[in-house]
This record gives sequence, C-alpha cells and structure tokens, in this order.
Amino acid sequence: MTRQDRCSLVLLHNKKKPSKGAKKGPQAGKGFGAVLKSLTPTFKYTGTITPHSQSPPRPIPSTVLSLPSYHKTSIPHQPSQLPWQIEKKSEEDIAKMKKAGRIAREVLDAAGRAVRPGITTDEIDAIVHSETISRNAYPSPLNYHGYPKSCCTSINEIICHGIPDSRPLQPEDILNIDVTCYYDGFHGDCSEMFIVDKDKVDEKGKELCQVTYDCWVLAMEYVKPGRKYQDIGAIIEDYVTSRGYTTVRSFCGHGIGSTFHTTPNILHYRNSEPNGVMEIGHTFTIEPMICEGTNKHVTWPDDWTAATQDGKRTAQFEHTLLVTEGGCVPLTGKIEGSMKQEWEEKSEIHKGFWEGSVGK
Amino acid sequence: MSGVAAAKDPRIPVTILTGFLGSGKTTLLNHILEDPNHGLRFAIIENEFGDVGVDNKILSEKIDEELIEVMNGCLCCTVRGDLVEGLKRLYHKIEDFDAVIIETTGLADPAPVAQTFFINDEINAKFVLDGIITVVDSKTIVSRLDEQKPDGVVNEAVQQVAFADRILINKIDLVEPKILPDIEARIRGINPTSKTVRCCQSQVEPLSLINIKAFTLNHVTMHTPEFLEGELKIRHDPSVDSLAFKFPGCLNINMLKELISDLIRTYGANLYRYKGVLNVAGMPVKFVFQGVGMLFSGTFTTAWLPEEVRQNSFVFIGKDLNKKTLTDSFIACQCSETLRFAVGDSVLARVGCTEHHHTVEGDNYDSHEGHDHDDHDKHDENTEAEQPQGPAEHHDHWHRGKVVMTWDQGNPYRIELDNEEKKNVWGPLDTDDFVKKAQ
Repeated sequence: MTRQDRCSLVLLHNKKKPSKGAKKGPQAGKGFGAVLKSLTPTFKYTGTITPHSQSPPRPIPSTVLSLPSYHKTSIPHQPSQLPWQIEKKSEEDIAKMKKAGRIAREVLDAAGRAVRPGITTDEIDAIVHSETISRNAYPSPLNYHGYPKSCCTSINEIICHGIPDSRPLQPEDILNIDVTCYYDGFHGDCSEMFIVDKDKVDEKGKELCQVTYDCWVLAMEYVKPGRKYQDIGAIIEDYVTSRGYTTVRSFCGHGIGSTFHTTPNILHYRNSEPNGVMEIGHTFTIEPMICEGTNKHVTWPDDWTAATQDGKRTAQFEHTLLVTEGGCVPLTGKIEGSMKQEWEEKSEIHKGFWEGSVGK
Repeated sequence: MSGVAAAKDPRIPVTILTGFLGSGKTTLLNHILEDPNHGLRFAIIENEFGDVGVDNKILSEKIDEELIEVMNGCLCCTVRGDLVEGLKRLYHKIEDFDAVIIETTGLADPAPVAQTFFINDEINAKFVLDGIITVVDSKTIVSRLDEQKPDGVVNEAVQQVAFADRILINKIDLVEPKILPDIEARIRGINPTSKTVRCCQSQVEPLSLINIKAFTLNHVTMHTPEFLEGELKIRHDPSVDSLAFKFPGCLNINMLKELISDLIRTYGANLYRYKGVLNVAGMPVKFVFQGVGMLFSGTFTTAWLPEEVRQNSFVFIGKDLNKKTLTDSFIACQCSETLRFAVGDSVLARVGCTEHHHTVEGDNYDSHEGHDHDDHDKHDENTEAEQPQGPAEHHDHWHRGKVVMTWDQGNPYRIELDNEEKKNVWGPLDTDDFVKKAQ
C-alpha cells in the first residue's frame, strides 16, 4: 500500500466501539508527538480519570462577528507588560465586559443544569458551544494555543484544563466547568463546581467544595483600591492550610479584557511578587484550585490536562472581577435562575449569592 | 481558563556526561565538587565512588554508603543498581538542586540512559533531560575516530560524538592550536548540530554544562553551516551516517505522520540522534521534532515569523541509513497549499468504516492514529484475505458532503457529511482518492 492509501484508513476512519456509537473524529490536538507515544508504554494516570475520545473542534458560524485574534492562528496577541503594569478599563470597556461576563454566566448556568450521571463532558461542551454562539459570542478556549474544545471540564483529581470527551459523568464525581466567552472584543471568564449526584458524592468531596468556595469569597472580599495583588495569595493559603488542604501554585488567576490572559498575575499562595496595586477599573480573575492532598501536578500527554500527582481531588471557583470604589463586583456573578448551591447556603463567609464586596 | 503561573519547568534538569577513560571527565567532576565559588548545587551520580575521588578535604558529610555531601553543597551519589530506583530515592534530597549530572562510566551508548527520562513516567514527571555532553581528549580523539573496528563492532568514540549535544574538547594545551579547527570539523562532520567547547585541564565553566535544553522542543534550532540549500551533505564516515538536509515547500501533515512512524520502525535502534524543523501546509506554526534512538518527540511550537523563510530542515545521525530514501521520503510529503475545492463546495468524501468485534483497548489514552496503525498494519499483511484479526467488516463508502473549512489542523478539508448527524470528517489529502467533485 502506498503511503497515500494508508492515510485514508487512518483518518476518514469511523471506528464504532461496541458500547456506544461514539461520534469520534480524528484526533484534534496540539501536534502528533502523541501518535508515537503509542510506541512507548502508556502514561501512568494518577487517579481514576483517563482520557476518552474527543470529537473534532466545533465550527463557528458567520453570525459570530467578534472573533479573537487567535481564532485562526491559535497564537494570541500578547502585549508585553511588566508585572505591575495593569490596564485600567474605560467606562465603555467596562460596559462591554459586563456584557461578556453576563453571557459567560448564562452559558455556565446552562451547562451546569445539564450535569447529571451519564452525560458526557463532550455533550456539556456541545451545550456550552451552542449557548455561546446562539448569543453571537465566541467560546474563548477554542483554539487558544490550540486548545481543541469550547470549555474546560475538570473532574475529581483534574486541577484544570480538562478536555471534554466521551467520558460519562459518574454519580460520585465532582466537576468544574470553566467557561469563557468573547463578545464585542472582550472576554468574560468564570467557573463553578457541580456535584453530579448529591446523594452519591461523599462528605469529604462536599467539604472540599465548601472550603474552596469559602477561601475564594474571602479572597474576593479583600479586593479594594490601594491594596496589593500579592496579598490575595496569603488569604487563600492560610484559610485552606489550617483546614488541612493545599493550594495549587502552578496555575494562577489573571488580568482579563480584550486579552484572555494578561496582568495582573494572581497567585493563590503566600508570595511577595511585585504584581501591582489594585485600582478602580482593573478587571481580573481569582480562581483558587484547592486540593485534598498534594498541590503538585502532572500534565497528561495531551499537553493540557493537569492532574494532582497523588490522584486526590481538587476544586475550583472563578469570577471575573471589576475593582470599584467600594471594593469589587463580579462581572460573571450569579443571576436570577442561577443554581443555588449547597456551599453558598452553608458558607461561613457569605451566605447566598455573592454579589460583591462592600468595602470592608 | 487558568493562566499558567511558573514558566520555569519545575523538574530537575539532568545532564548525561560521557567520555573515554582519560578524557578528563572525572577531573571535570572533581572540579565541580571542589569549587567553592560557582554557587550551583549539582548532584553527581556515578557507578562507583572510586572514579570520582572525593578528597577528605572537601568532604562535608558521608551520609551513607551511597551519598556524600561536599562543602560547596553538591552531592555525590553512587547508584549501583537500577538508575530509576536510585533517582527515585534521591529525589527528595535533590528537589531544589540546579542539575543532576550522570556520569556514564564505561558505557559507550548513552541512549538507554537518555530514554529512561522519557519512558519512565515517574522519572519524567520529576526530571527533565537537559543534554548529553561528551568529553574528548584532543590528543587522541582523531585517532580514536579513525580506528577501524572489526565488522559489526561499534566505534565508541564515533558513537559518543554522534549522541552528544555538546562536546568538550579537552586538553587543548597538549596539542598544536592549529589542529583544533580540524578536530572541530571532524566532529561536526559526524554531528552537524552539536556545539563544541574548547577546554584545558577540564576547566570548564560549570554553567556551560547546564541549560542546554536539547530536549526542549521550543529550543531546537537548525542553525548550522552544514546546511546547503537542497544539497545532500553526506559524510563518508565508516561508522556513522549523518545527514543534514534542507528543502523548500510545505508538507502534508498526514503523510508526515506516516513517514515518521515508518522511519522509527524501519531504522529503530540504528538511529542515534535526529531533529528537524518542518513547514506543515496550512499551519502557521513550526513543527519541531527531536529524538534519541527510537524515542521520538515532536510538536507544533511557535509561529513562523514574517521575516523567516518557511522551509524544512532536518539532521539524522545513525547507522546504515539509506540517505537517498530518507530525503526522498520527506520530499514526497510535499504538497501544494492551493486546494481544488473551496468552502461551500459539494463533494464526495471517501469514508472508511471498520467494525471490530474484539475489544479495543478500553479507555486508555488513545492516540487514535496509533491504534489505527496497528489495525491497518494487520490490513496490510492481510490484503489478500481482507480479514484483520477477529471478525470485521471493512466498508469504504463515498458520502456526499460540503466543505466547511479548508486547512483545518493541517488537513486540507473539513467536510460536513449530508447525513442526519451532520458528521464532520477530515479529508487528509487533496486528491481524488479521498475527496472528489460531487456529481
């Protein structure tokens, strides 16, 4: 067989698995070093989550007018800034960011409502994608540095950047869905934890979510013009460490606006990095990742998925925040119809939907 | 989506140090252990303590039979048994060190040691291979390279040079300065992209032993005067074939994938070191690969800059390589970026479909193509009978569809089929074998 003939069998190949007609297209991804990994022994996954099959990246219709620069090239335009140089948004920018943030919240809520045992993360990705484009927005993760899907779904020991695939959710899973939408030139980024079956998830899992939620709200309450970004980390670290958890160091919160990830760099652990001072008009995320065991990660062969080294579970929450005179408000805050979660009801920091700090 | 905080790889860099007895390798390591000024913390691993003489003057603490700490904070460790186990045991003590140097005493072929850092997942998570350094004695290196070995016996000096990223040409004070360029040219002939450093009495700046990043794809470069446009630079060294080649045009990613798998399978252990930067059709980023022996790694890295010429270059060093076949195979992957069909065109797509009734390997990470390779390899062998293992039916159908995108991840077409599911498939090549005009 010539090389050309063999190509057809490799790619236009619809392999039906005995279990379910998994719609599996060719492997999307960042390159094909993965192809040759089949020649070497398989990667040792640290927990119970393993990769399943991915569907091709979802197409964007022409009704989505605002497309980020990396949509075609996969490389984002990255203005170079010193760590303490932070963009102040204008009134006009802020109005647009509120819109993008609102869209991200609506999309995340829709995705969260679909969470149930048996649904695959790929089906959740399909919902995120269609809810986003039906609002004429672009799902920011798609093709960002080559990322193949429209959102991140991180289950149990996956810290972040889990790629949606054909794995069905199990009743005992805890899951983070991370949604970012790009609308009219600006991004809105948020994520939330979801319990797949509240009767099947153990107490420790619920406690992990509670502690993560509480340290996150505590950190957001700290935000106020004049305070240093570097001080956010200590609040988070002290809160979780005293309760027996660890905070991830390798991934951070970030400034956000017309660029997906920019200054300030928000570290979720005690640090003294010169990452700038909070000012009215700054927009950024706080998104701590808190772990039952070690905070160290391994990256899967897909070059994206980050899992805890010991396979123990981890949780995360995220808002896009705007610094205001009194403190800050979440641009991706919950709205009427958003799911009321157990940890919001039981929080010792703030009960109910958190709608911004009141300048404490 | 979270930002990535540490740009720095948290893993400990590892340098493999090779070199003949008498090359000065051991003296070099002694210098590192004795020097109070370099401020770096190295962990030196070797087979036997006897080789690296740890002088009582510099001894800080003999921690146990295996581990000695010296006054400048470096550690010297023997690993007699399994290197993997030894590294695992050491990890916690050396987590914050600047580098690990593994001295491959008596081993000519560093490839198995190098491969440990890729094959073993626990080691791969904690350590990152930085580079292979060989120390050569400038007085004797040329005659060693020239040595005629009996048939089938490897010339170790040649092999050590072939595998190295950096070559320390030592004892330059013992030779006439004018022969040094000849030595360097001889070395480059075997290994075109290695870097040579001249030194005297194994006095080497310790920093030059680390941060080589030879195995980090983003740092792979192909700058070498050995490259001549389109010309095959072949060295007639009896022990080793080294091929440096550069050619224009863009390559089809699917044919490239096939080629790489074939190369590894065909040449296998005869490959020493290889690397390349390739221009893939329809992708704005470079494809970079490098390998040691059968261990290949390749990925898309950074974008081609506007001022850069988009072309393909690679270096292969190995044994019994068929250079003409090698270069022809790469050239055969060339394709045009102009396509026959555009977005919106109606086409017929050939969709293959095979149902296997024996279980596919569960839920393990499936490099999809990897599995298919196995499967259709069986096809190859059984084309007459058309029966792969286990009962299976193979159907090839032409389906109507519409082109929804061109140049999608390097595939010429992304086609939406006219079926109920509106399934998307990729057309791997722009030929009538896969995609043709709809009647």
